[in-house]
Amino acid sequence: MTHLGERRLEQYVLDELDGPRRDAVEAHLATCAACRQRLADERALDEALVLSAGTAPADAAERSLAQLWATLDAEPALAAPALTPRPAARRGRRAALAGPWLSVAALLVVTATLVLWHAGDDSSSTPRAVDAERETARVHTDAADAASERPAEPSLDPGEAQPSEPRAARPATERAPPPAPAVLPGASLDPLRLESLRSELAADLTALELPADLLGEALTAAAEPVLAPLRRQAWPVDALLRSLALEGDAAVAPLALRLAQADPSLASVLAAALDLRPAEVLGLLERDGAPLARSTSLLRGLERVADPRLGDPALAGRAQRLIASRDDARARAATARLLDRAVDAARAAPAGVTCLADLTRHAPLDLALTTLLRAGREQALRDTCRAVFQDRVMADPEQALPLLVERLEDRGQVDPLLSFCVGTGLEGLAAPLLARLEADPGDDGVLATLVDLGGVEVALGLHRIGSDEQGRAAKRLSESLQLVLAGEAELLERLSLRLADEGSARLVALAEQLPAELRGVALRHGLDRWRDDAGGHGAALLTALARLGRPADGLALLEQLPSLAGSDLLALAWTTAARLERDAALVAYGRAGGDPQRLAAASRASGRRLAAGRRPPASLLDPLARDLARLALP
Amino acid sequence: MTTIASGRRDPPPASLAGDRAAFSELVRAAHGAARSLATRLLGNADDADDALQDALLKAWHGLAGLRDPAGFRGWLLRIVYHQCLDARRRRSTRQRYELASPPTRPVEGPDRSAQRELLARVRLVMDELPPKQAAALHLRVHEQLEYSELAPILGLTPASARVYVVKARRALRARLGPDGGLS
Repeated sequence: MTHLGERRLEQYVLDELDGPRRDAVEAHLATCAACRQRLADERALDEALVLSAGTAPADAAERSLAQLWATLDAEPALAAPALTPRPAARRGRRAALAGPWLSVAALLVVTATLVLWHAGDDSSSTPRAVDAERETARVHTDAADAASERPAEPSLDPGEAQPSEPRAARPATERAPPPAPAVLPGASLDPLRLESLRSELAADLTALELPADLLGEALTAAAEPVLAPLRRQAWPVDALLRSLALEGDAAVAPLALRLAQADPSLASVLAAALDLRPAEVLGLLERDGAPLARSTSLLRGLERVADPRLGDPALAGRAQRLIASRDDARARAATARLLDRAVDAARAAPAGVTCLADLTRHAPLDLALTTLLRAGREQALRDTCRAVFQDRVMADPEQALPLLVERLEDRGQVDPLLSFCVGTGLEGLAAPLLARLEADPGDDGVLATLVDLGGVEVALGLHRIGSDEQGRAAKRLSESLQLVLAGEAELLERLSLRLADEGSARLVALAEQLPAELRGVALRHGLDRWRDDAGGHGAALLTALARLGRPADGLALLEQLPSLAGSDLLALAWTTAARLERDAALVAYGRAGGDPQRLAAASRASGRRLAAGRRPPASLLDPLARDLARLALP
Repeated sequence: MTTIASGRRDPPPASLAGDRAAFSELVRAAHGAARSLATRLLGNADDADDALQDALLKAWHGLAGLRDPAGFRGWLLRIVYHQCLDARRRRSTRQRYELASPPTRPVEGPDRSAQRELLARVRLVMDELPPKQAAALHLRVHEQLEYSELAPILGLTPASARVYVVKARRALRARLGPDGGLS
């Protein structure tokens, strides 16, 4: 097998490969333990790099900013940034107001006034439209009033005028209808008028610092009409939403998160929110899907949450499932990293085993199976891995089995898979596995261990494979099984009983492979089971005994088979004459009652069989034939 | 007090220049990456905080030159990088040696102590790398920046940025030794 070159591995680690080349590397990694180890080393190097950079205190940014502002305030000469003049229109508007809150109030009042003036001047306006506009004015004015009650921030621009009266909007308020329960803008407005208002509002939002709740309402009513102008004017929408998502109150933050969720370009907002509001973000992603394919930062954020060492294990499990449920390239790479870490955690603590099981139940099938095969070699993880592996394969065997065989080039993966196939009755999968074993024989001890651990079921499966398949590996499999059986009398008994139920063929096959002293043990169970089947399995087993050079056993067993007809015995004697001793044939003749006619008939029948190609060597046949003839024709 | 730079550059976004709230917002989003880069290049948090503070001051004064707020992060990282280069030049060889020395005998169990030792070795090796290599590798691995993003921070082309990353990685691997303590 050709291993990955250093450069290609670097490219993979640094995420520089395009789709097909990345897929090729991943396909190789799935089957090459050596390259996986190299990759793990590279990942460990990355992890060490990240960890060695340390982590900043949670309030590091605030402390830096506080220090910056303190420095600037303490030294006024430093405080002035290099400002460029603002556009005249904005300066004019801002100059008329003191602070952002007052600006909001004035803006909304002006908007409401314009709307009402426009409505009054427009003779085509319907009463409903006028009412709607009045409603808009009321809502906006209420918001402005609320905003005006907040303390105004000091202006940073010394050129700005002093604040105007906050209640300058009162005349517009007086023209509005009496107070009513607040509704969101747009709840009862004419769509065209609402669109116009939204556009006006959106244009001005870019220049004003709106309170979070007001902005939240505006965004609720008109997310896209508001966000689109913001983007066009290069407003840092992600920073805005990040602020709302991370620092907004309980009512606003979910809204900002939802908006970020709706726009894949804002996935970084969700990523940032994952650190502060992981449960909320996870809930959102679980409900609406995660745009992981387009966001490295979100994926990395999820990976952080998914690491149970770093936070809440319950949330870690949810994050793991989210990542594992995706099958795109980046998510797959993340899942592979999670699986590697999960195996390590499972080795370290029992709680990690549950985590590994959970993750492998949700991971893409190929990644999950590869991991389970690898981890299942370890005694402590074997039962869990086996259970999950079996569930995953059984849930979709058509996809799972070819996938496994296709990916199995590594000798180390063959044994556990073979073990699984044998243990679960999927011996049909064994043929390609044996082909792999033939190419790379490996260690016989593995198969012995398989039988040792799996008992009669595994022995039965291995025996089936050894009987059905051709080739060196199947032969070696059988030999390994026989070695185990030779030392495990009880296992041999149980296996023989199971095989006897299936008939004579497999039992005979087993007996043929056993050492001579064990053949009688194996076949006896068959004869017990088939003693009344004189012409079928019983005779076949007797024949086998004779053919395998155990005529004495055969003759002893004959005594236990009263239903066997004399002619059958004679036929048996003739058929097996090459190996039966003469005395055995004579005993058979005696059991048949010494009837010459029957002997002659049996001889003719057997003679035809002999003529058909099973003729024994003349040196053995001739003396026996002479004796038989002398007995039959005295 | 206010410097007018009209005619020299396009006007910046009205909400940024001189606006402490907007500046703070942008700094919060980029602070982690900036501090991490400074810590990587200077080897300890105290020097990193100092360099970052100087960089923030420069950014505040240079805010008018920032045309696109979306590019604030990269712009700030570039300032931090150059600030750290200045700080390294000022720092004496002796100080660097002391800062880069491995930690004293750890008190944790063997696994934790092995990890601490490894991280100390990584820090030591990274500190010995040329700063541009160290910064390139850090920005690529720690910050997950694309080459097209990290190249302007270091004054490189994307292709040369990649070369720096690969060289740094190989140097790190080589200097950590064959086992590296990573397995």
